[in-house]
Amino acid sequence: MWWTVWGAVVLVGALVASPTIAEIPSGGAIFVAAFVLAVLGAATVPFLRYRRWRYEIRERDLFLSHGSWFYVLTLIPFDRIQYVETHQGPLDLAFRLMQLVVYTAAGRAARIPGLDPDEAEALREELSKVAGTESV
Amino acid sequence: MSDAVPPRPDREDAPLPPPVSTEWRRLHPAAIAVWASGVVGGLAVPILFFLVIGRAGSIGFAAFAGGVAVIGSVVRWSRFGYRLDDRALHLRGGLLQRWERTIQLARIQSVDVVQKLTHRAFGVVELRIEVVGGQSTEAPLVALLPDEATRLRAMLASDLAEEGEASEQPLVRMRPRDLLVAGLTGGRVAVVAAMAGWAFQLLPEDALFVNLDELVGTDRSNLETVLLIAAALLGASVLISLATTVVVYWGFAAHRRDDRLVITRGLLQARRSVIAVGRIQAIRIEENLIRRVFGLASVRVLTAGYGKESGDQQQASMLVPVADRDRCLEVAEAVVGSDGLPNVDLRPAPTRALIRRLVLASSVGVVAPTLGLALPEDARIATFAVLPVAIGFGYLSWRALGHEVLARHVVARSGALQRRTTVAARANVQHLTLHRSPTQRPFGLASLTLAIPKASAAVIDVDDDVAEERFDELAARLSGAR
Repeated sequence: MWWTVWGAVVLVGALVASPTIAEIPSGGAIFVAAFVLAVLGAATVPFLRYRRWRYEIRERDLFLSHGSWFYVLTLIPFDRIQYVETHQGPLDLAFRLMQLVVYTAAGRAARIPGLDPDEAEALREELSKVAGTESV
Repeated sequence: MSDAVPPRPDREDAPLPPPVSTEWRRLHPAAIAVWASGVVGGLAVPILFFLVIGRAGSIGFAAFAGGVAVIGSVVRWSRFGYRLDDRALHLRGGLLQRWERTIQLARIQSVDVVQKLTHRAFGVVELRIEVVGGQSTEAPLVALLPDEATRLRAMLASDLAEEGEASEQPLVRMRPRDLLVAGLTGGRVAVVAAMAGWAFQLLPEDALFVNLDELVGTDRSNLETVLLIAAALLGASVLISLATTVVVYWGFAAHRRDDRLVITRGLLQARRSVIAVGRIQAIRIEENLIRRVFGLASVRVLTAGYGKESGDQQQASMLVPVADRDRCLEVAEAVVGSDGLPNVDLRPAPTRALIRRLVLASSVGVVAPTLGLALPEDARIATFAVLPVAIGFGYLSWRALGHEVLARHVVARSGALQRRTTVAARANVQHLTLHRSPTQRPFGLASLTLAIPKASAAVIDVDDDVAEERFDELAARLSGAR
């Protein structure tokens, strides 16, 4: 069996926005520039991160890559997976999303955010089946 | 099931001794004293504080605290029970909130016998049972008669039992002279000595010879005060380091018996640990600044047991408190099996990694004085020291970097002040990560992290291509290793 799933992810963009900057008293120009940057960042960064996030279920392992600024590649062989967990925070609930977290004996190995709940649950079952462990 | 926590087929085949009893059993009553002394020990500082400042009623408070500790311990003892059947160890206890815990025998990582002063007074021992992935000691059976402890230990972990011929020569033995060396070059001393040495260099030469008597009482300059404090710190840290080293590692000896390591040590608290070699996740060779100067190092074994909160992790895993670097490598080789460890030449990090570090250090060194403009005049000068320190640090951390992939192990080294060389069996790697940070990207560098239970081996700042090659190579082996 060799099948591949390409998935991608929406990251929570609004969080990047500006409230923290508002406290700087001096320099209206700096403030405006920072504000514009923050808005631009908020508009582009989540999109870029979304574009770069991918995971792949391969024959014997789970392979993830994400980030361009901080680039991370992760490889988790199926037989090292201890358990798989799905998780929904308040924002996930608001946007009807779900996160999937994969653990090995060395601790948390990967977190895949922003999955469709059905997809996340299917994935959890799938992974726990190949891992030969119970899903939590 | 991962290789890291191998199933133990020998358990089914080996004829187990019949269980001592499937009834619930109590600990030896000495447990009351052990627990109570633990509670009182924890309160000793506040009690002493109150006694010293002579608050009214402080004696009453002390007596009250002691009373509560004793009564609490009696109740705890009366509720505490353990039971062993052929598959698991069961523990229970609790007065208002009852708890019961089941520990699968197959998951036990190590069983230690500990004897503190209180234990000695009552002629009992404590059995500490560590389980895979535990945060603290899962089953502290705080007071058992030695016979019972031996019997329990044999049944809890048949492959940890101590039969088998002891090798004639211990793998490691610490003589009093070695302890002295270990204490004098311990980590705490290294840090303070480095700071003190730095402080001394700032002083005019004759300041070193100023008599202490003259200093006391006369107007001291700031510099002299710094000197005095540094000297006092250094002296105190040497004494503390010596004392703790002697107490913890007195009579230290490590033997190899078949596939087990038996480590005994301790002055006030005698301890005997048995570690199955097959469960060692990695070996770490550590060299602090002072030890590096003298060509000394220490060796630690990393197992999946020994929770972080048990406070044992640091000492329990020590295999060589201090020895020549070469000797340390020999011991490591003897434990992990021959993979040519003593002859390994680690591949150094590329020069670009040094450039990256120097660039980062320089930017920090430039930014610090800029920010320092906001500081008062005489504090500003300190910010100029940031640049040389940052550059030195960057250079040291680059020098330390190195890695090599052997047939069965991965060796990775890093650390500017405390240099750590981690030797991890490839079979124990759980997952792999490749990172490329914004400051690594322009220099074509990347880092690899090999996650192993309770630790990781980080290969920092290697060539992009090398990192990806290694990643693929390790990944292929990892995923294919069924």
